[in-house]
Amino acid sequence: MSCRSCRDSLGLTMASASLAPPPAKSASGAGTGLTIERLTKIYPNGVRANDGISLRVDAGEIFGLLGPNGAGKSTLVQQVIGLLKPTAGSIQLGRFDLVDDPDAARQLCSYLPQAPVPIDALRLREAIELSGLIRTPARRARREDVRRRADELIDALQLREWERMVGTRLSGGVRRLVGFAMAAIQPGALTILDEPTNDVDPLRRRLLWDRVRALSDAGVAVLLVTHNVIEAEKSVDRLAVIDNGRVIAEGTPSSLKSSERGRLRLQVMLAPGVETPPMPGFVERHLRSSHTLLAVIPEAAAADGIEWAQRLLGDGIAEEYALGATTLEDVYIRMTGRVADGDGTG
Amino acid sequence: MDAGAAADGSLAARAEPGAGPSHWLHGYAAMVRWHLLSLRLWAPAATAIEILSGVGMVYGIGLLAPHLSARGALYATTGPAIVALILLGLILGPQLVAQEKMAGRYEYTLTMPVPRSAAAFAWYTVTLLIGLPAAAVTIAAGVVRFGVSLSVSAQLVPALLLGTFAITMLGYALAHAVSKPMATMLITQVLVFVAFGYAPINFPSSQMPHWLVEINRALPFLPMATVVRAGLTRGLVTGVWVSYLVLAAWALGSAWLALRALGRRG
Amino acid sequence: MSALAPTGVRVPVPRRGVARWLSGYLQMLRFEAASQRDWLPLLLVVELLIGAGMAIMYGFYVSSVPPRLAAFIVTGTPALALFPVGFVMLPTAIARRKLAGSYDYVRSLPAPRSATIAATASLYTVLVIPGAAVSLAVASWRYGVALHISPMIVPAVLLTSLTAASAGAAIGHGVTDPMVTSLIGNLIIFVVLLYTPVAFPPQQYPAWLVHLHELLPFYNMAIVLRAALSVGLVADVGRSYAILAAWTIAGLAFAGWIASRRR
Repeated sequence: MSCRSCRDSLGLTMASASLAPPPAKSASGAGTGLTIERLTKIYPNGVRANDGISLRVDAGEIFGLLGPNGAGKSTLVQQVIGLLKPTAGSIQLGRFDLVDDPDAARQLCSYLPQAPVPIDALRLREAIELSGLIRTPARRARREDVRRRADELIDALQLREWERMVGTRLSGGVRRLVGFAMAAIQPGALTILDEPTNDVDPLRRRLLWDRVRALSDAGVAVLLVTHNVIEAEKSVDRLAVIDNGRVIAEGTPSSLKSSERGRLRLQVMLAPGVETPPMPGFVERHLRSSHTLLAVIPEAAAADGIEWAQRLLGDGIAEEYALGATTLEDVYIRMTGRVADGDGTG
Repeated sequence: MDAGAAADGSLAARAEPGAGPSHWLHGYAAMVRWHLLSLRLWAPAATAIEILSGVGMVYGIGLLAPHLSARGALYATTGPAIVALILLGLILGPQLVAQEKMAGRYEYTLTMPVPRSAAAFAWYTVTLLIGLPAAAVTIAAGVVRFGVSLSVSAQLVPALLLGTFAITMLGYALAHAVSKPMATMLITQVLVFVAFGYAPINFPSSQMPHWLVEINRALPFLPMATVVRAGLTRGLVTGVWVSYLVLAAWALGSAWLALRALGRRG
Repeated sequence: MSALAPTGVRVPVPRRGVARWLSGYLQMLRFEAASQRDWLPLLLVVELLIGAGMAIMYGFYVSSVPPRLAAFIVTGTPALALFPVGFVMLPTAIARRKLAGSYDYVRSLPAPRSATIAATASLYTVLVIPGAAVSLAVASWRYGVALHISPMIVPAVLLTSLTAASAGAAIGHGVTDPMVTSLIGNLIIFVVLLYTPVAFPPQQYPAWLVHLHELLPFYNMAIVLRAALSVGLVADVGRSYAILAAWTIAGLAFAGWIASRRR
């Protein structure tokens, strides 16, 4: 579990001041987290997109879904939000059964889809405010509150300069942020974010992750789908690696990396056009992805690794190298057998 | 810590899904706003198209059939406005949805927490706002062109409201129930074609083969034309009550189909 | 070349000249034929609808159809069938590519731009003929009008189909917003069906409108086809041929120019 109260006492919830305390504390309604049990989805053409997936996202927790293209991540979240109907299994949010009641799903969860949000003719600010209005229960919707919350988000994500611009004129990255704001303005009990940082510039990515953390601090459960292993490592509390419709690993980033304890990652950038050089004996595993060679070596062989890399440099086979701690990406590669999709930056 | 919380209870995370009339009305009002704003670029164009098609039809008929009888002139005056409304309900809505689907943005509107019926009714409201003024202009143009005099009665109001509702729901159903956007566009364009030329809206049914007229009695177009014409003329049309029934049946059937399609999950 | 392809793949040498144009043309023809395969039944249906369908519909709008009017309607039918292909279907097909994102992909293929346009135009020219022919047959049967088909039918059909295809290519490539494409298409169809002396004798229309249409392609397409299908209904067909040729060349040139611009 995560240590929300510790963060609270450090005043880290200042940014989320205007979100009311989570109903989780009142132990009613939808505030006690998402439970998915043995979820299976078989498409009419026979494709088994999800195969017996079980996982749990607590209120106030950021849970990451990691996996290659076609692993079934988007299928999973589409079943949670009610766009798809599961073939088998259950999805429970607090006391609400989301499979039986997709209407409740839409009202209790907010969603940022992978596709661009349809705000072509809407101005940035309009889209966020209107989304807030639509997503807030009728009896408690007040324009001033929505407006204030929209202001907060616009400032926090540094979108002020595009406030009055219509959707068609916004860049892909800004549009993504607007989509995020449209969900975050009234996050519900569960916020589902499908690739939230696609196309977003590095500075604003940090701002976005801050907002996501603010949501979880306010008690919202966050379910995050991402390709970006390196970002995931820094931002999620727990994660699950999904491949071929199944969960193949689950835990906190540290617990997953513990399987790699005692090892280092040697990354070598090869010169264009060269064949993969023969691996010295101390290399436990390696993977070549176009010009990058990723080798995992035991800590004890650090000096040997550097010497080997320097020899490759001298022979003109490599252009540069780096030696460092193993990352989540190495765990990911070991489990899925492939490099994570996406730009890997951040 | 949560300084704004007390004053700001309205933004508490939803603990319960909304229900009841206030939730429905809230969703309805919000969706009307959403549609109007989303159509900001297209609503003026849609209105212009409506007026141009309506008035264009009026003068076009004048060219095709230069020697109209008094009866024919009444048909040519009242018909185009109805066809223009059919054009709006069957083409505009489905085309916009098809557009969204092709660009992959359709999915988002399905995740909005508004009751499906409220969303449908909001779309109908927007259609009325765009279509009725244009219909009025078209009828006026007909009066000018053909020099007829109309006897407007109160019947016109329910006729227009129900007729537009039936057509809009049919368009909505086609847009949401048919999964391939190209198929939707094709079907709706065929339907408008039928409404324009194979339904006795712009001309008296005596000018069409009898069997075609019979088929039209079961389609929504002729009934819609009949009830609207009954509100604009006196003694011109018969079978008004039957037409209301047929129209209502189409309205309810299409609405049911549309809502069912919206609620369906893949 | 091997420096560019270290892994041993052979990089094709860029070719120039007529051979390249021809091979590009054939490539694109094959590509277009394959990718437009699902459009074929649709094309046929649309042509029938607007061709024969409109011809029959006009009969409902008037209280009676005397023989001369019937002859006009029937001989105007093939032109009617061609309009939607050129002004709606082809632009929509191109617009659909833009929306799906494959437009730029096609642009990046190695064939020369003019060859691509030529391939699209020639493919559509051939594809539209069956629909127009069937429409004509249906209309002629419905109105009981006998046709006098002359050998001029061959150049007439080829030229008018090409004009429609080139118009479609010009609109499809030239207009950036697919919604606008669809709008223009529907507008043109609407105007053409009601305000063009295609199915009705020009005497029914205001003089200024007829003069305008003598410059636009629509009426001329009808004249050219009508001359090859009847006797004594058309006076000066040579002028129409010239105007259509001009529109065709302009359309293809415009389409080629637009498609080769780098944004």
